[in-house]
Amino acid sequence: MSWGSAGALTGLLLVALPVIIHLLGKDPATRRAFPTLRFIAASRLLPTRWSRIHDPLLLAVRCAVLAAAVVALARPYRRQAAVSGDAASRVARVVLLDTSGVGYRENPGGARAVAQALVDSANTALLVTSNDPAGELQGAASWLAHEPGFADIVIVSDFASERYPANLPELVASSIGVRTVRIGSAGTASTNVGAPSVSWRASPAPAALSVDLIAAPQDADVRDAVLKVVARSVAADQSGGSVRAAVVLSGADGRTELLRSARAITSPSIVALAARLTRESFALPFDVDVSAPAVAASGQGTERVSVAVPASAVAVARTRDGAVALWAMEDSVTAGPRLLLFSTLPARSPVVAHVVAAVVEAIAPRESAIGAPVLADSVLQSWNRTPAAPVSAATRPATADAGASLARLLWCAVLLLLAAEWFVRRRISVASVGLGGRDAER
Amino acid sequence: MSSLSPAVVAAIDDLELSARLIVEGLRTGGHRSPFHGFSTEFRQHRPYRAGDDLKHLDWKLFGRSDRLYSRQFRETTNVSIMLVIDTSASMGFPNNSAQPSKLRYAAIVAAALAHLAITQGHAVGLMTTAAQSGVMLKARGGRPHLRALIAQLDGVKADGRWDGARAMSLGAQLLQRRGLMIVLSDFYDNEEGVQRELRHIAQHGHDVIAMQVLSAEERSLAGTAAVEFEDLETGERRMADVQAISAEYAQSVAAFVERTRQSAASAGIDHVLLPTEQPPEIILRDYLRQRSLAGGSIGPLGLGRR
Repeated sequence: MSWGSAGALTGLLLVALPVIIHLLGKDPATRRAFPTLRFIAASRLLPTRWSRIHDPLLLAVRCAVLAAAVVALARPYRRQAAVSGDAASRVARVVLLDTSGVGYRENPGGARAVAQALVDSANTALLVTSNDPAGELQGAASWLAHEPGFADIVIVSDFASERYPANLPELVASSIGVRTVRIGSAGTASTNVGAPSVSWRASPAPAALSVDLIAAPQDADVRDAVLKVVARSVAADQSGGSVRAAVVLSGADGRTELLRSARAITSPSIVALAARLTRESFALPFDVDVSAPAVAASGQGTERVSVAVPASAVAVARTRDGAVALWAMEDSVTAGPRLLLFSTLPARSPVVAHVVAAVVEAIAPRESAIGAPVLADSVLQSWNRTPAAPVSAATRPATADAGASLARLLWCAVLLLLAAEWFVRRRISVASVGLGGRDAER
Repeated sequence: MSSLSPAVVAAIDDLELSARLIVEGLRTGGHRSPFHGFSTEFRQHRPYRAGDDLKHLDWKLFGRSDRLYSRQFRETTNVSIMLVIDTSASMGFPNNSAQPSKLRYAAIVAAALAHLAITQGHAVGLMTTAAQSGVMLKARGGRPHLRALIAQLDGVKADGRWDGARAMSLGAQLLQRRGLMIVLSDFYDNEEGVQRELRHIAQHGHDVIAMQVLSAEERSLAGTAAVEFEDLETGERRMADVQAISAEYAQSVAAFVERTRQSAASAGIDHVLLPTEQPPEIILRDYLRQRSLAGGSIGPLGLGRR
């Protein structure tokens, strides 16, 4: 229920007026002579000047008259009727953007653009960003139930099969249309070209990564920030920690020792990992100056670090000009095999976080990123359906008419209540006259 | 003849006319003429005067003395009746013009009874005692006395309190022989004393009829408003919600009437309830018929000793 003049509702305070008058007004002396008082029970006597409510029916009717009049002046109307003048041509839409899939992470801007285009094409629309679109269906259906016009739900996702029930269309009313828009290249090899766009999503923090980030003490804040970004932008390590790797930033403590002890990659698991990284072929889209010597912290000061790439190293990422920005070797010190990724990038370069995130994604890929099963196109097509025709516009009164109709009804109620008030007052008067007193007119 | 409503009867200022109308109404009830049984007693002769009724000429004396003499008679009465009327302030209720007050209603009934009794040859007296003044008329017969009695009835006013026991005691003293006492009152005052005096009078051989006059307004309270009641006799005031007390009030009044009736019945006293909203001749006719059927009454309409 909406109001044309909501301020008029303050007039409801007037309802208190008859009550106050009723309580404060002196009762006009209904005194009358009587033969004897012996039969008038003393237990039922009233105070001479009373303050309790008498004639409650009359008082209630008078209050109702005022309340109905005030509400009528406030010009109420139904909200649904207010927007349904051209319901037959309207489209109400809920766009569910799945942000949990790799399809979104590959190109969130593109996904959002698709979703926004869908939003813009509807008369009334709601964009819901969620990592569980199926769980949002009920709420979307409830919202659409109150909107006039054609109602449909569009799901923008990579449609990993694990996140969608097979009977998804049955979760919403049959009158609501369902449309699926696949984004990303889920199920195919990811090129990981370009810096991943990191968005701060309110998703649970992933489990501890099995990838270490080794940085200089003065770059501890950078390291923490990078780890934070990585933890939030990359899903949990699906390898269960079996793949161990370390990204050694320039200037990191022990970098020289690590470089010295590193050897060519020989362990089978590290070989496979390095092969994958090589195949991924990071081509940094940034202009990174890797020629400047990095500075490593030491106990007494700083130490210049050589950035020469060992011959046994495997180049993983290069800058645009072909310089090696990240190379891989195997750690020969630790008990188990460990991949060492040496970076020539300045620790405080903004590229570091993106590079590390991409590396982690490559060496500890999520299931979907390495070909997680997705719903077949045929399934998605079977889900698609068009919305049912909306309620005819003819049955939805126009806003002005609806408001006027309600107001007319209320004014009729006021008239009826006035008649009732007259009837009740007259009945009380007649009763008083019947008593024979001088209290006929009260 | 249709019965006259209390409002119509009350509208007639002439109380004698009202009484005559009521008595005429009583006569049309299929009873025998009330004048039957009227008896006279020879008193003396006096010389005939032109205009005297020839049927009263003593022809035997004319034959002996060759002079015309008319016979004169003395009216004889059968029963002495004493009307005792409550003139307390409570009898002035209701004081609106729509209905007669209880006192006016009682006066009309008393006048009708007096008219009926005197025309039947009975003697009727009147006793009212009020705060300031009272009326005491010995029981006598004859139309002049009837007119005097009705005139007194017409002048009674409701005022103050009523000493019913004293009034009835005085009335019994005025009845020189055993007779009939008719008490018209609402019996509100000194309930116990009045009942005791009624029983006392009945025990002394008098026939007693207690006529309780009550208005509809005091038998049941109507309305929903709060009313401040003022006692007509004491001036005491009480505020009460009529709607809240009406049921309890009606029960109390009914219990009071029943108590009065039972007290009277236990002493062999007739109790007649006179609702002022009902035509008096109907109540009187029903009661007199019932009393006549009970047997032993003197007079066709049941007045007199049983």
